[in-house]
Amino acid sequence: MTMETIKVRDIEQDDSVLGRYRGGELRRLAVEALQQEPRVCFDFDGIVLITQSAADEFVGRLRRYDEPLLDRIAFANCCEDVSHMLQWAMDNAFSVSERQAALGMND
Amino acid sequence: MADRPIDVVVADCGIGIRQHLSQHPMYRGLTDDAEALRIALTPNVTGVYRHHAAGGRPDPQASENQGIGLSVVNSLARRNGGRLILWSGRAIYDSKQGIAPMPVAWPGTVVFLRLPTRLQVFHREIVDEIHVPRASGGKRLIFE
Repeated sequence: MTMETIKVRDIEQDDSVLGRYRGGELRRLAVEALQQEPRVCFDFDGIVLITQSAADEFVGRLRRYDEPLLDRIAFANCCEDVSHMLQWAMDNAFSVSERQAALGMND
Repeated sequence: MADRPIDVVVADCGIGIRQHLSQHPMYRGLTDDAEALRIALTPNVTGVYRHHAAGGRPDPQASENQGIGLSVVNSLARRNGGRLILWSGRAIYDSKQGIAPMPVAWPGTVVFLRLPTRLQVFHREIVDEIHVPRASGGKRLIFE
């Protein structure tokens, strides 16, 4: 099975993925790649940090709107902080209105 | 060498925190800038509420904040001996002193953040402490 590998360090200006815009760029690259290939691998070698907002815009938003795509995306060479934040974004991928309702904030 | 702090100041003349929060149906009647600052520092709060199109269906193209960033920055500053100051409208928040009224209104938002260069408590630990309901049911991303 063919799989495209995207080296995140090659498309970021430094060793971090910061903010919603950059996270959204990773999501767009994933969606584009998965239109051509059955799987895509994001190689995080050389990346030491991804912010909560970037991780949410990347995997959190896929979880909310395109969840089946996540079964076709692999994450390689993640340091502990990066893998932790990506999984955190996955685990907490409610939309704000859903989370507020679950927390009783809409009562 | 002593640990020198990093100071960041950002100011705008935008709509300010109270008016931003007022975009959300829950905070539409908000009239008090001090109350707006208190709410804005709470996790899971944001004024961005455009992600449900007419009819209540999610709009995947719309902007979609999570309402977590400001509370994380506040915790980072407080727990690392730094400082966060927010001035918006007629109220000011200082992480060392709390919320107070201001005699002069700022038309947008002013943010002052001071952090030491060597953090003792990291972003990851603070994010872990934020209480949010679990969405994924234990589904794991594929790490290779």
